[in-house]
Amino acid sequence: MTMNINRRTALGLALAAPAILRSSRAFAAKELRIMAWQGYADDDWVKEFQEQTGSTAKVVFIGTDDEIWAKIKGSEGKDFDVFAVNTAQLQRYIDGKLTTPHDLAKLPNQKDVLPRFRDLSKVKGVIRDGKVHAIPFCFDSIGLIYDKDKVNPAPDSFEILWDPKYQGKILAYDNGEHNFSFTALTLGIEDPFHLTDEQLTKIKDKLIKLKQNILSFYTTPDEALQLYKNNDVALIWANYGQQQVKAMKDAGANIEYVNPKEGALAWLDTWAMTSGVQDFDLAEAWVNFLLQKKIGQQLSERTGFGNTVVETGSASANDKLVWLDFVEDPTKRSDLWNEIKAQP
Amino acid sequence: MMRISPLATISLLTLTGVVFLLLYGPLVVPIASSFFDVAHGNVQWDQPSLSSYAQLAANDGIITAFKNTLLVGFSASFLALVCGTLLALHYCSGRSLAREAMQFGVYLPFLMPPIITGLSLLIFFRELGVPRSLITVIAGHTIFVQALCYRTVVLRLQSLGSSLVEASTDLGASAWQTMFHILLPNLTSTLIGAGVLSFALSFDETMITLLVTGTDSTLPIRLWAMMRLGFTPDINALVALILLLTFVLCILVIRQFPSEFDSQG
Amino acid sequence: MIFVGSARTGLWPRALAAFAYALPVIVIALPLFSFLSYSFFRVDNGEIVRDLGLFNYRRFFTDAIFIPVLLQTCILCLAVAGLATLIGYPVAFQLANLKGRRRYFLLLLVLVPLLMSYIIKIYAIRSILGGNGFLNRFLLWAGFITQPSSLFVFNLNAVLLTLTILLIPFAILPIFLSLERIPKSLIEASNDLGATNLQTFRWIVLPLSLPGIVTASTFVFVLAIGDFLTPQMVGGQSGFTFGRIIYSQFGTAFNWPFGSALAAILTFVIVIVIGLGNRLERRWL
Repeated sequence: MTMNINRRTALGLALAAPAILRSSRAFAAKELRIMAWQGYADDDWVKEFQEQTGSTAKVVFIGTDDEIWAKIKGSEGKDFDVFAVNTAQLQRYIDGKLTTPHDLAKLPNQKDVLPRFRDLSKVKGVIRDGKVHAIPFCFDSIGLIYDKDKVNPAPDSFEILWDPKYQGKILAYDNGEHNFSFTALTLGIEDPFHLTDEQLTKIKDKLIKLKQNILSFYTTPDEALQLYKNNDVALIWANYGQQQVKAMKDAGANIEYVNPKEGALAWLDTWAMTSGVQDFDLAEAWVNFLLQKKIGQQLSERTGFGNTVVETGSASANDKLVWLDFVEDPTKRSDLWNEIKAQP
Repeated sequence: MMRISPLATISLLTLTGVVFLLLYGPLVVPIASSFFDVAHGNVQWDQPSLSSYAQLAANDGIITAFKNTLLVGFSASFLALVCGTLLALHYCSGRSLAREAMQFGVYLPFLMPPIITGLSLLIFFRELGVPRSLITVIAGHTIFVQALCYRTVVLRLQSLGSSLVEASTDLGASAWQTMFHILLPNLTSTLIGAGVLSFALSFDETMITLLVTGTDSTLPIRLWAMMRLGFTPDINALVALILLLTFVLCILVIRQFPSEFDSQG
Repeated sequence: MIFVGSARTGLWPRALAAFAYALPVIVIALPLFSFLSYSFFRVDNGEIVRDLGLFNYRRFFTDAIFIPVLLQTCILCLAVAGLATLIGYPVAFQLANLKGRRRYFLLLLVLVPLLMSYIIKIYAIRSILGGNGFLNRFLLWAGFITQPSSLFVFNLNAVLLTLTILLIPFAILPIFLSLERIPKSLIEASNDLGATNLQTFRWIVLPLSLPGIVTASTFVFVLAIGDFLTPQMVGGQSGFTFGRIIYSQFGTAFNWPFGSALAAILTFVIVIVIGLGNRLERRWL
């Protein structure tokens, strides 16, 4: 008797198998490949999104603009569906035809974002030829973190990074473009993103002096925190803004954050779709999902960044913010930065 | 191997001790931390707990990445050993310019900066339409570690000389028999050594993997991403567990050998 | 070598030869060389222009920073290779001198740290060497110094030290393997003929273990020179190596042609160094 049942069950399964396989394959075909900075695609959000849409979402976290470019350009946009990128960097992806424009009709939540992000034509860099290539998601400024016990009175300008009093107690972010830009601001140059050769040379000399004043470079927020904990550090120019402040304060550091008076660089991160996007609707669903008020709230609480849907106190009205723009010549800045680092 | 004076023995043992200290020293803090509570990146040394281990067990992402790393490591080492041995056999079976060129080709991916190997493979796979996945990662790692397997086998074959093979053939063995009964037994320790090193290299390989992997993760990739916001406490637990696992494996493997084992006899 | 006499021209040797050439050509030469061909192109306004020319190579020789950095990187990595081999040899010798399976057990223990993630090890070493780190605190406590020293971290010494610690196991294994292969009979014969331990070592053991030494230094040199992460993390202001210049060409600077030219040059230098190493080995033997 048992034998018969087993054979019948087996036969039944065998007949049903193709149907099961086909439906599971159709199920698995709904896959979203996301490339994001840490904090932009938290596990609970991904889980909820997967349940809501019945899809699987695979997230790859990257740590630098360089990595995003290498992977997206290297695969010509085919390896991912959506990626998070700031408005300045976005330009090279649009130039390289590596993005797919968004369909605002599929993004109902975009209508409820904060007023200054609602009219996308006012947001620098996201529209090209009338098409929206990216949707703003979060932002922050690049300011100065100082140790309240070691730096008195409170600084108000990046100029303090050159102060010989703090020699060997400074951390600098390792990125040529930003170092040139903020140094240009300290020299009073109005447009730090389109520098002439003469200005670049002047800034290069100033940056060599900066390099000789620092303890070390860092590339990730946690690295800055580790360096601070293990060494005598008084000043950090904070590429990751509030994210670093929060991490350091949570770890017990007695620090404060200030946006320099000559103007603080500010970045706006967006979600863009690659040219190789496999499921357009699913990608739009993800962006729309992240534009919910509760996600924006959680993002700001967890990372400290400003979001586009709920007002948070990330930068005061008096601060002068200089939004990042695509620089005149990234290759040249990178070469000059290498020359600066190669100086003994 | 050699009988040496007591003074020499003590100096050597001390030096060996110092080296072990240097090798394991950096691991003490992460592993010790895994047995205590961690709050905001600071270890609470007065609150012992196994919460890191609990966190690790719940962290599917890390566990999957770890399993992927093992899979890639074993596959790449195995493929590299097989291909490396075959290539070495060919190299040692004669002399020609073509063979020197082939050897150069085998060494190249190991000598080049990994970012070049990774990027060129990414572009290559893209042009061929091969989707990026663990398969491409295994391919990348195999190409990378093959040089190591190849070189160690070549050195061993060269030190063996051809007399054994000639004797075996004189006695009437076919090429296959010579291969299995003469060559392979002599290559065993070399293959094991090369296999272990290849696995170790693949285990930690970050750059090539970062580029050719698409959306699959291996442990180095997760750690690389974690450099951004800090290592979560479950990483300490993972390090401790890997150490424990490898220790246990070593003990089990060593027990297979008789206690007076000497590979040279 | 496995095919002797009439078997040399049979089917199997030809199949082996075909495989031996096909594999590297398809999977290695094709992707790598097609990428290296980029080194003859150039970049204009963010796009790769396929204009053949040697500008990238010329730039390497004419721009002031590249040759000094390459030289400094080579010297650093040779120092790492030398140090790792110097420290690794006695340890390998000690291991080879142990009896029975104890030697393999300890050998495995030497290799185990290789499976502990490299990123974690660098972080750990960096915090140990830091101003508030274990090393400084120990020296302060022992009274060797009166305030935290920055001698050990964020300079080239730190890079040297860290790379050596990370790569010693790669030096120990090849040396151990070559020491182990020395037939005991040779050593016994040497002792029987009245040689002291030192003489046996100098004339029998050392020369026979030379291939292992060369392999060890070569591995460590190649692994050290390809490592850009360690100099970046513990090198501070001075941790700028040639590998980092290459790496920076592949980010937002987007100068793949120049990057691949630099990589070709680096590979060429590595090949020269390895070749010199092999020459030295042959001369000593």
